[in-house]
Amino acid sequence: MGVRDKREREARFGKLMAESQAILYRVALAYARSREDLEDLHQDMTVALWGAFPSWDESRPFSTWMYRVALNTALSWERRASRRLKPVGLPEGELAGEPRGDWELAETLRSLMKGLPALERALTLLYVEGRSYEEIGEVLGLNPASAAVKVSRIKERLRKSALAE
Amino acid sequence: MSEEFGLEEETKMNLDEVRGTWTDLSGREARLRFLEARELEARWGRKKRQALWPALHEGAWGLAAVLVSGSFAFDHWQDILAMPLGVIPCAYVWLLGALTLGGALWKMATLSQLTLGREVAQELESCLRGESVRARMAQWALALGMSLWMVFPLFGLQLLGGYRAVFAFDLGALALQAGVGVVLGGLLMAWFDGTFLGGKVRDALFGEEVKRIQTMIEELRAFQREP
Repeated sequence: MGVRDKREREARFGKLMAESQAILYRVALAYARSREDLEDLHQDMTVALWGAFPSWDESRPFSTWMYRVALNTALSWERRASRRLKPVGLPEGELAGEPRGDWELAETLRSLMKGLPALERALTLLYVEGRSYEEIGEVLGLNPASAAVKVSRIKERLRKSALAE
Repeated sequence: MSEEFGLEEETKMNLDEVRGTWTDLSGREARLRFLEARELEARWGRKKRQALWPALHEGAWGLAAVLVSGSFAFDHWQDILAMPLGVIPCAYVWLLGALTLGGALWKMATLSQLTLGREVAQELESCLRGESVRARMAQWALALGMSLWMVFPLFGLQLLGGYRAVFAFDLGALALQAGVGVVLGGLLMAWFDGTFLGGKVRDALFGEEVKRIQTMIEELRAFQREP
């Protein structure tokens, strides 16, 4: 790759990342278990996106591809983290610099997704992200109608477990 | 009924309530550090090397075991023909080496295909298949190691002292090592009551780990298939 191509790639990547950094932040927030995790995972996702960037088909939306890479990285990171058996939770002192509301909302989402298999958690997150069923299907590898049915089943299950509590 | 309806509304709203405000989170105040292109490139290179290193390491050990045991068998084929049981320890080392080498090559091929840009279900299945192969290899290594433990002192004596103990490997030795292996294995299992390393050794040996991963793959496929 020539110097010019490299610079163009860097500039394009930087621009796309600046436009979609909020998505990356929210995916990391949904899977992180501490402030340290949030930074690690966010950086892991950025590195993975950079490495996979040449494989992005520019005729497809960047956000769909970004969700795929971010979720695949988060799930792989989660498997590694579960082997490390790090303590779950965020010590109070670590909240400095982290918007408290963001973390609380993420805790609510994590508690809703708790116990769901990996693919269903990803499905729930994409639903909460407000993505269309077509896009959810494309990110996860499901057909859109099936994604819609599964979201409604997850909601039903959550409703039943809340009633049982 | 109205109470139930109220509860239903309240709990059903939970996910949708989160949905209502979730996308407002922009991360602007989160003070996350963004990496420069040069750092991204360096980290990506490091990540790839770190992922490949264990497979290269295993592959090198596997290849060495295949070459050493293969050349040993080639050099002593006449002795082996005269004492066919002597081939068992050598075949064990060769088989273990070949399995390790095959597993390492498979891992390297899988790693080279991982882009993280594939559909999440596809990526998950690839990872699970990788775990299944690793679990199967651990099962083989444990089962063979437990029943053929004598291979190690035999080869150790040959390598360290030049004593060709492998040719003293007769039916009696085979029965002894199998018997002692089974007794030792049973004692180990009983002693740790299956809780050794959280039951991982027992689960790996009896194929529980492989079954667990296969079930997860089946569930994943069923989740994709079902409407």
